[in-house]
Amino acid sequence: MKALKTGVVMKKKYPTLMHEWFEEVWNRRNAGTIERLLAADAIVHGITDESGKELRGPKAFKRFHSRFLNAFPNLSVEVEDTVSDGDQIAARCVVRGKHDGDGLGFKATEKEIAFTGMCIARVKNGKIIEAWNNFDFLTMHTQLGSLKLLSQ
Amino acid sequence: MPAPWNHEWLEATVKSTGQTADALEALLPAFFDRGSKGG
Repeated sequence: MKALKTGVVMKKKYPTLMHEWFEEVWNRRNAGTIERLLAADAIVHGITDESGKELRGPKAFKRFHSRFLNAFPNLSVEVEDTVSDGDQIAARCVVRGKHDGDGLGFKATEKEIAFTGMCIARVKNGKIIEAWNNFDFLTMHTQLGSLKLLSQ
Repeated sequence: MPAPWNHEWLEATVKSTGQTADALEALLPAFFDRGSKGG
C-alpha cells in the first residue's frame, strides 16, 4: 500500500508482480505489459523459441505469447501461491485452456488442458530481469493426445 | 532441442527415449497418477 500526501491510502491492484504478470499478460492478453514488466535484456529460462534457445527480452517473449494464445485462445493462468525472498519471487500456477488453434505446430484438437508450473523471477527496478520457468508441458501434450498424433 | 511447448519438441523427446509413441502413451498414465496432475 502507498500513502499519498493527502493521507489517502491506495491499495495496490495486484498483491505481487507475479500476480500482475500472469493476470495482465496471460488472462487479459495485454501484450503491452510484457514490455512494461520484462526488462529489455531479460533472460527467460525454461521457455524457448522454435530452435530451443531461451527467450531474451520482450520481443522474443511476445512471439511465444502470440503463438501460445493462438493455440489456446481462452487460456487462463491461476496463481495459486507466491513466495518472495530478497529480489526474487516464486509463483505456483495452474494453466487451463482449450486447444482451439494450430500454434503448437499441429491442428487444434479441441481438447481441454490443465497443467501446473512454477516460475522464479529476479526483479530489479520493478522489472523481471531473469526468470526460471518449469511448466509441465509433457502433461499438456499428454492431455492433447499429441503422442497419438506422432504415431499416426 | 526445439521449444518444449511445440510439436517438434515432443517428437524429439519421443525419439530420445528410443521408445515408440504408442509405447510411451501406454506408460504415461501410470507416471502421471503418481502426482503430476494439473489442478
